Amino acid sequence: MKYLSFRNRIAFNYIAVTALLIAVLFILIYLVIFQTVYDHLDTDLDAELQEVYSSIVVLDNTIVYANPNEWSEKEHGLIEVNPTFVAIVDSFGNVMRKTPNLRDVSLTFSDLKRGKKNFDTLLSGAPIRQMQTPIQNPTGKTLAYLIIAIPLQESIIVLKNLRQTLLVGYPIVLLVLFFLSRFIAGRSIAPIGAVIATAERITNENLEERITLPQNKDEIFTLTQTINNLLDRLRDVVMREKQFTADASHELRTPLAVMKGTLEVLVRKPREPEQYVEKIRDVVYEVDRMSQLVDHLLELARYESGSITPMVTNFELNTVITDCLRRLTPTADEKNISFHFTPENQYFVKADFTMTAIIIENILSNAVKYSPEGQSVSIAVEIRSGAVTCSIKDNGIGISDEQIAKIFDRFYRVDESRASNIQGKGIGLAIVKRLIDLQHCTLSVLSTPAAGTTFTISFP
Amino acid sequence: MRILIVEDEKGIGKFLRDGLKEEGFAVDIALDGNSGLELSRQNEYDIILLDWMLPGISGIEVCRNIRKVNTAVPIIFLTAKDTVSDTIFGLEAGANDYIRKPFAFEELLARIRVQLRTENAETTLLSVGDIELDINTHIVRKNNIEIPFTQKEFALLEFLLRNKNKVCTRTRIIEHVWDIHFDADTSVIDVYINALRKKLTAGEEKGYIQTVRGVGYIVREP
Repeated sequence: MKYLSFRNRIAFNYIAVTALLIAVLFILIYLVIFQTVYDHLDTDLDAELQEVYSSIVVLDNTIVYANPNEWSEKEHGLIEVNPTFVAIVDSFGNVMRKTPNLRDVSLTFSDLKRGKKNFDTLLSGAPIRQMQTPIQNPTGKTLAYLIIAIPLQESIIVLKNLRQTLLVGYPIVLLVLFFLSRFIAGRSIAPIGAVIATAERITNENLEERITLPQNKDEIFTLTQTINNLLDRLRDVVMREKQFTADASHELRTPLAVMKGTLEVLVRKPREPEQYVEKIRDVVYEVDRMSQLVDHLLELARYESGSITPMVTNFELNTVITDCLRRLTPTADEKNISFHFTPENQYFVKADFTMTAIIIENILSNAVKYSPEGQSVSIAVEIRSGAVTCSIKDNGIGISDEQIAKIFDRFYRVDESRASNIQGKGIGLAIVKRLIDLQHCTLSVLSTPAAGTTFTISFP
Repeated sequence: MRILIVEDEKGIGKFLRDGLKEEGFAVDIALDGNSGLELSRQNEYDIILLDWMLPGISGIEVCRNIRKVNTAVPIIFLTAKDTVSDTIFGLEAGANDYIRKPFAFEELLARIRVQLRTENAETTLLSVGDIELDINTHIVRKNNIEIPFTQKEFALLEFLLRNKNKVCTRTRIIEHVWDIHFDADTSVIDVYINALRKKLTAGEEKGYIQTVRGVGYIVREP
């Protein structure tokens, strides 16, 4: 069954059940007709018996034939057309009287059965059905037996024909049904073929193509829709990867282009020593910028490859925050930005110490970057619905709702103008997102453009 | 020759400006798409260098918008995008050429010169009388004797020679030889023209550069 096609499997399963049902049905039909035929025969026998029985009178120990004409009726004289054989035999099977059509043969006597009994037997090789009943005197003594027989030939032929028809018809019906159901199954799964064909055609190159939805909202419709949705998600992932590669190559090539160009222009002509110093300083600055970017990209790649697992320990959160604040204070001082953080209680979290520090430092450094001069950044640690949370709130430029969805994308920057004086490549939050996921923390962002942003980290 | 660079990466803009200025170009830099488009409408540029990925509107959009009003100005894309489809996309948006970052400055220069070629494209020499100017080597010769020229003087002479026998108005000269920081009211042009005349004629009677009073200057065969 494993190797059968879907349509054949449907047809086979269908036919197996149908075969059983039809077999039961055919057997039932045969039995009912068989029974009907014999009932009919027995009714005839019974009627004849009554007739013959009424023509005899039992006196003490003798049988008197009241109506001798009965024995010479037409049906008792002929053998060929609709004959009825009648005989009266004594307890030992000796024929006392019989109808003319019996000629020199006699009906089978069954002495074992004392009561009224119907059975099939043979008369000169031809099948007959017999009915035998005892003739008793009023005291209950059996004087003789009345045997009546009618030929079975026709009934047997009818039943035989019926049996043959059913036996021959059975496989034919099944065969026809098999092909019919195979055809119908094939037709009803034809849309799946279309789905397969389209799905096979879709590759990396034409991820925009979708499978046409069928008209009926059936299972195939749902299947198609599911595949289409899957393709949407795949396309998004592929697009994001493509975007990342494009962005990464842009970000890496730009400092290279600056260095190459600056040096090429520098060596075109002999220059004053001061000019060499200035240009070489420019190039060193670019090298620094680039190696920082490469470091960040490698860091991100390490986290994304899944080769790093968090080393979960139990540590106090306030100390991590205080450390980060100390490292960031020189940068914040340049913009005259103040931090508001008053550690009150101690809060212990189960997380990776280094990763947590990177998360908090990245968010804090963004808060400093995107805050105007003289503003403040406040940090609060508290317990919300059983979980330790750390919120970092700035009064910076803010992020619009549609931008919030993208800020964790690699290389995405809210302030697109790289010409602006805000440094950064948009890698920081991508790293934060990765580390949050690795540690099963949650991060929520609340922001009002031009008013400020609050990042809230919730530890498990 | 006046050139517009639309490039948001300051480092790239800086070396391009330095290098191209040394080559005698007047250079303007726009740091984003919108201001690039603005500048291209305000001034008449001989060539535009356009970065693809720009803040605001993209280089492709800038290119299409420039092409709507100006089909003549050569546009060269400078970009880190490097697939064939990107190249085709850029050229279909109306760019004349396409150069990948990081590029060699000399290659960019060569590509700019290709775009600036006049009808007699085979030669890099411009001449009038016994004066000969080599665009590639930046050397001006009179009777095969080299005359020292400053970058600005060279740029001015190159522009006048490219428009030989045509009147160059003061406005056009300013637009093509000086960058956006130039104040058009000064008499700098006259000073440079006088300097050129002195170097070219070297005391001879015949003048190569003639003044068209109230309009500008013209260079004719003597």
